[in-house]
Amino acid sequence: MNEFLLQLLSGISAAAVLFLVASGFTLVFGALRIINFAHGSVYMLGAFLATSISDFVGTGNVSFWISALLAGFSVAALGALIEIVCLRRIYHRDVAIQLLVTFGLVMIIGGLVRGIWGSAPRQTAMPPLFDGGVPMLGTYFPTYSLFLICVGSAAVIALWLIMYQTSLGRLIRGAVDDRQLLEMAGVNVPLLFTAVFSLGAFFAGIAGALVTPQQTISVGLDLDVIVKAVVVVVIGGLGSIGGALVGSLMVGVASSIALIWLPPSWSLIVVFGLLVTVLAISPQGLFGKVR
Amino acid sequence: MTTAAYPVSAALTVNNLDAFYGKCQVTFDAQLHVGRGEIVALLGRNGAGKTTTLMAIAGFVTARRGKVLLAGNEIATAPAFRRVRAGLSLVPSGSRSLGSLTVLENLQTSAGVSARNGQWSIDKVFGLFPKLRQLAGSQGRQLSGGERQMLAVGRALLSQPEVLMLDEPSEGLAPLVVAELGGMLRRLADAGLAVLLTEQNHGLALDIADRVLFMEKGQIAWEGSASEAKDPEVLGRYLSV
Amino acid sequence: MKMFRSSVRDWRTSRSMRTVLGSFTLGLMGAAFSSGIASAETGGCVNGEAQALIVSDVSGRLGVLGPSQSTATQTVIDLINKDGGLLGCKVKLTIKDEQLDPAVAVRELKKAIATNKPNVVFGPTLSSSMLSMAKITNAQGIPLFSGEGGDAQFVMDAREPGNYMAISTLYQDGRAAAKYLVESGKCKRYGFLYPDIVAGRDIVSAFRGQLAESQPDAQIVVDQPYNLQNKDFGAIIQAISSKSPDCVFGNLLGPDLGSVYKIWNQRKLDILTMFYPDTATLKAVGNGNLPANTYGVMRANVKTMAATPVGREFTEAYKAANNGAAPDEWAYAAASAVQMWASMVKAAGSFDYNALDTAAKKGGLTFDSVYGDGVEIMPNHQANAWSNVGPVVDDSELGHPYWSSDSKAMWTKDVIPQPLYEAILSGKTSTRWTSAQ
Ligand SMILES: Nc1ncnc2c1ncn2[C@@H]1O[C@H](COP(=O)(O)OP(=O)(O)O)[C@@H](O)[C@H]1O
Ligand SMILES: [Mg+2]
Repeated sequence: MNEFLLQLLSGISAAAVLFLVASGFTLVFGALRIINFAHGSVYMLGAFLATSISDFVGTGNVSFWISALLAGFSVAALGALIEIVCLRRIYHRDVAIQLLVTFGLVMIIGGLVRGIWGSAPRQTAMPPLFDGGVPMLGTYFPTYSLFLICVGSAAVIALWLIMYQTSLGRLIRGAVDDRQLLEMAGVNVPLLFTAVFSLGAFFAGIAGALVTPQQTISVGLDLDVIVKAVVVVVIGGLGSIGGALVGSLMVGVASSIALIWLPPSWSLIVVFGLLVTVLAISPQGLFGKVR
Repeated sequence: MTTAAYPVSAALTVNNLDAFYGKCQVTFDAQLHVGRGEIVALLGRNGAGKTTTLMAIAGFVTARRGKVLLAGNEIATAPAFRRVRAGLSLVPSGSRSLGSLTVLENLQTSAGVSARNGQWSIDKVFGLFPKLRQLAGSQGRQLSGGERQMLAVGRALLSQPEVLMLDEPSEGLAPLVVAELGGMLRRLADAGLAVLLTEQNHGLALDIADRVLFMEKGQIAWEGSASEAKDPEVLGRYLSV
Repeated sequence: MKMFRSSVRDWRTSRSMRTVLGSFTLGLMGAAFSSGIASAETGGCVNGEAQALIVSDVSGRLGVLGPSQSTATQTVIDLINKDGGLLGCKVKLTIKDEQLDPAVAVRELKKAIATNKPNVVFGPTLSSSMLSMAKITNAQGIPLFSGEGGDAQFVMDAREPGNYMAISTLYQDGRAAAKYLVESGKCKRYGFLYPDIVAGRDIVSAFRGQLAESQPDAQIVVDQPYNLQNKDFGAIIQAISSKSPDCVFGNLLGPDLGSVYKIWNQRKLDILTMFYPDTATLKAVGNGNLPANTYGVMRANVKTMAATPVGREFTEAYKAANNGAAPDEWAYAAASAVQMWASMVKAAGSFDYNALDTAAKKGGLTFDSVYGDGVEIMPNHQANAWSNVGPVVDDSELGHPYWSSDSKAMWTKDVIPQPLYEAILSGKTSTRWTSAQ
């Protein structure tokens, strides 16, 4: 029983990070109708930025927050730039062109990261507040994993508030419904899209920064995370934030619980099994409504 | 009225409009104007280019050539949302609404965006369409066609228009609703709004319009008063299939 | 060998090729005659220059190993040239990037052979690239020396006369690690954590083999191969610790190992680990952040190798050529490959594929390597290098954790009974790899 609970908890902690990434991906798809493969690259950039910022500001409890937020905001600014310079030109284009452009961004950001930081693995120190483990269920469960669960939950609440309690959220939901109608209502849709993309990048950047104390950061992080995010979002339904939440939990928890019986090299099989099952039952994903 | 010079006080003036879908030209040298307090009906067969004309005026279809003056100001190069903010609203065909947003949220999206100090508030829109007040909490996709059309007009009014364009407003609506809508448009026009609407079906249009334009193959082929347009010979020439 | 002969026959039967070949030989003879250099013989070099090629992952997903391997190869070749070259030839090195992709490796190799056929090829980290390249070099009659990749296969099923291994293999590392842990008496319940790739599967199966011999009552309580793509080890380590092993073994290195150490620390696990702690990872981990009971196994211990006679010379030359940056374990392995090749060329008096093979098979061939002087070249074409096994500790001298000085060097002879090749063959297990053409 303890073993099960501990795997469950580990899975939820993994799901928290997945949600931060997947929610931005799905948000961007829902509003902008772009499958942004560079979303994982933005996550990786956030992670690398956080390691460099913490080299600079130190690794205390406060510096930890500074570097995470600074990484998030820098990446959000870059996201805005990417939207204005690249994506704006391709909304009306063919899906193939859109995929090509976001793949191009994957290459460019990947090259940039390798050029700036090189290939050696990097990491940041654990902030003292979250160091060590909390004694529970006969073991020490990493405090930081519990913290990630808190951050994930806070992100769920924050996103819910943004989407349902602010005018920005109202416009984002409106854009998911009908972009043109929104423009007919006099909404500055280009600006809205920049904001949405930037918000998605912010969440991804923060997620990247938040894993640095627990994971070693290296090039290749981008593709690793985007594959998972795509699976999560397809399971949950493209464009649905609630779907991203449920999808993250399913993927995170299933691949963690499966470890009780199966070696981790099976995790992809478990995850894709989940994906296939969901798609067989509901081809749109669990909460899919777009298209 | 047939040869009337364009009044200087026209709310909307469109000159030499050539609208394109990609390389495909749809309107040819289209000219029209709508005065304050005037309802102009743009009629024509399916595929004549009415929708394209409205979309080009609103900025959603490329106009390679032509002037669009809103209260004397050239807006032909402004992005669509700026035209709305300047006072040019379009109610597109098909009674579209933001389906997952509530009626109230639908109205909120356009409230406060306008650059003009207009008279319209959500409360006034609810005054105009009491039904919408009852439905304030319902999602757009749950409404009937008529309710969605009211919502669309309400949304358009909240952007404080000087010119209101409606593309086939009566399409798919019950006759009673059409009559109600017509009466309301007439009242709005009487209060000073310039209205440009299109129809394939001439019933509503001819009842409320001051002036009628017939469109054929992307060109304005006939212009005259509503009573002149009721001539069966004219109707037959431009509308019968 | 068969492929090599048949390609030669194709050449001879082709009329136009014969004409080209004929005039080319005539021209060459003329040139040799006038300049007095007798190099028309196959075992010599052309125009006083021997061509060496390294195909390595200068960029790509890892991108850590290739740069230091190619730099090290260049360093040793520079040292050879400073000593007057080989058989009167200067050695010229060409570096190609295989981007950790077998298909790219093959493409680059083919291109290089087409422009300027090398006398020797040094190979990449990735086993799949190495083994794909071996098919081509063997067909072309070019000796191929590995400083890292394809190791177990090179001395097992894929071995051809022209394939050479300059360091110990994962197979030997696995056996050495098992032997060390058994002797420590610290482990009864064993766990495995390793990337699900050829290297991971091979080292663990070698470990299991040795364990079955030396500690038959050992229990294996958890076996966790993971996808190389995996970055989040939280749940995996939870699953391992639930099975409470005494010791966990695997060939984790690089970023993965860094992450694992972090979580090990957070969970205050005192389970003994024996992984592959490479210098870059240990630098990233930093002093004071090493979990308790950290052990390692690795072909090359940087500190030990920098102290061997040849290693000292190499280390200084490498530093001088690289703004003072010290060579890492991959660099030493690559250096060993070049030294092995040079010694064999000298012994054979030829660059020729078959001549090198004959020299190796004759036996008794040794060379001075970064691993120490007098390293033996075994009949299976593997240098009799060592595996290092031992505790990893914080090292105030280096400023980051490294192997303690009491880490144990295990000669391959210690862990594998003779005859080596047969022993490995009988114990071979996983040799699945992806080929590219
Ligand atoms: N999105 C489009 N792309 C290309 N051609 C279009 C498009 N929409 C309409 N058309 C063409 O433009 C012409 C005018 O269409 P439209 O303006 O919709 O006519 P109406 O509204 O008068 O029925 C038609 O020939 C139609 O086929
Ligand atoms: Mg139409």
